[in-house]
Amino acid sequence: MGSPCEIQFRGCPVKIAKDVVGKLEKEILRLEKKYSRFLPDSTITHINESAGLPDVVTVDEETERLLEYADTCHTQSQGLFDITSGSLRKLWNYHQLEEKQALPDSREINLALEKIGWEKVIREPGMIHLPIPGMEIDFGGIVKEYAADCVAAKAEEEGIASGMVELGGDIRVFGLESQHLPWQVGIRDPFNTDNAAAVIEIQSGGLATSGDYERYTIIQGKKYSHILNPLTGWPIEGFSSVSVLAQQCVVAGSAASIAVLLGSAGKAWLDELGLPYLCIDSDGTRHRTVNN
Amino acid sequence: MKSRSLLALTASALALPGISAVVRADTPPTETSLGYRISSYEEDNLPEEFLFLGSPDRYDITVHQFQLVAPVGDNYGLSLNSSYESMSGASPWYALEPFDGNKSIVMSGATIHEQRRDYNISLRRYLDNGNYAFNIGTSKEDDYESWNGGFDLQRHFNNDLTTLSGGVSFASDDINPTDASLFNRVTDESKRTSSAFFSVSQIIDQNSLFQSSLNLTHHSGFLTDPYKLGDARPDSRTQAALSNAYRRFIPSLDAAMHLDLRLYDDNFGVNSLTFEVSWYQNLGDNWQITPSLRYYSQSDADFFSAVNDFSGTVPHNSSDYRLAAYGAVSGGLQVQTTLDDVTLTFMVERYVTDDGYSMFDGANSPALVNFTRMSLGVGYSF
Repeated sequence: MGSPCEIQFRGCPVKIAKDVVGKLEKEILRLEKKYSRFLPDSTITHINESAGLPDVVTVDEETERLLEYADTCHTQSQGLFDITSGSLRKLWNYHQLEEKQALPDSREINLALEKIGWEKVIREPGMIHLPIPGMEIDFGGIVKEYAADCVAAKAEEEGIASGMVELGGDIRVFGLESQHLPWQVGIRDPFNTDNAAAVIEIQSGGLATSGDYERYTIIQGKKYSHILNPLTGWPIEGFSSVSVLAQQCVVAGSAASIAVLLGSAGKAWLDELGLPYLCIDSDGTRHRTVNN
Repeated sequence: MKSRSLLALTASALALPGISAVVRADTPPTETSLGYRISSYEEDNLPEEFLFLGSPDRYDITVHQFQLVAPVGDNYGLSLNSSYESMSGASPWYALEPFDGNKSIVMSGATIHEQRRDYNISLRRYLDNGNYAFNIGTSKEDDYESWNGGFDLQRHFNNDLTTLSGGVSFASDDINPTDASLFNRVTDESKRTSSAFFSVSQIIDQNSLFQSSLNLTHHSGFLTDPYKLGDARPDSRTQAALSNAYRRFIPSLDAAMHLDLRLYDDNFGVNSLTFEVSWYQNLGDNWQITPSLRYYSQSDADFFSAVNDFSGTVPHNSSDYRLAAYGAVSGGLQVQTTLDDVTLTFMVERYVTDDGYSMFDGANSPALVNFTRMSLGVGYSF
């Protein structure tokens, strides 16, 4: 998944743990192979390569459900969470922009925006069609978190009583025993990535963080996040990071992403959502409802 | 009340196939495993001071055990067990009034050579909150044939923290002693056994567990030992045993302590108590060493006497040391190592009995047995 991955079990003999970890690695690789937009043979690549062509792409049930989930996120975020916003990412190629120290111009942004819009995607059960050449989808903000949930479910199926899965900062804790002795989990500090901004206890469920401390660039002295507003074509200003706790890591991940996309309205949206969160403003101010 | 957004996101997330995968409380085997174990059981000789006649060499038994456990489909596990046992040596035949000091035991000649073959098959079905299994088996010796079958069921409650188990089993044995005409033994006898158990297991916290089980067994038919002279036992025996187990894992030591206490009573008049403590010490990733210590004591059966009663005036009588009052202490050590898919287990145990160890008053037997047991096992899973 292009990110560090850590799996911990409690109270499990080493031999069994090794066997189970082997199976979990396969599950992660399976999802990566299927949903990475960098791999030439992935489902996502097939969908993206067919953009603008007359043919539709058939998708299996898992992909269909993920697209459905993306649709729900799109609706709940008033269109801000949009899995077609990939061409904006190309435009906001931070490496190049940082080298040139220049921002994309408005003509380029408008061209990119033409290829964006979940509402433009044609979907039928088991099928998807991207009607505009160059249009792209990606499951960023969904699939890594979904993978953490899948891995946890698989570990439980294998009989692991208690465990924690971390995929690139997104965490899923599982198992009944976790309810007796919760897991201590650190939330990274966007201003000092070696330190934890907070350490919280999780008995079960997922913790996901969205924010600009993992990928950002400074252009003309200003920090631009990797969260892009698909409606304006510009990076979102607001929170440095948002961490959300939910029963499922995928819900935590999309809630955090939506809160970041909502910018200044994100905190109110999270309050209404009712999930515990920790938001860190760009000046370092913290807003939290998660417990220690 | 949850927000509408959260409900929408959660409902959509729960529709994702990988998230709400079936979590079985018990998982069926996912790998096939093969096991073999050879055990040697050697009884010490009967001390010469008690030997009146016959051979002092008591039983030596070698046992070969095979096991195959394999998944069948997604929800079943199949287990096949078989064992082959070969036995030689002498056993106490009858006991007389002590003569010439303490000499009272008449042993059989060291001519007993016997083989036993045992086969058992069990099929277990795994459910969301438990499992159940049927098993059937047979056991054969030259003079003996037994068929048995059983059913057991386990269910998990209370967020899987509590497990209730129960089961029933039946056995039917045919007994046809060898050399029957030579020694005026019975020729064609049978025995029926039915047994039921109920058990409660409770997870106390992530490192400890308590289990208590009650086992009731009823035997009817020919319960006498046909190879002993003057042995006559009641034709029905009802046994009750209450077993309690406590398991505690100690993370800082990477070790687990097992404590077991078993209380037993039957209508032969035998009561007993067993207490066992074992320490499972992990050493690194691949080694485990387990010392254990067990104490056992029982009272004598109502019809036990150290000297056989040949008067013909008592309906039941036996001088079998297993029905005497005695105590026993045994110590064992097990070493286990795992190399990839192979597990090797070596075990040695020394068992010593003595009247003086008994916590029960009652008649004692001079024919108590001490033994040494060793086994070497290899397991392979793939």
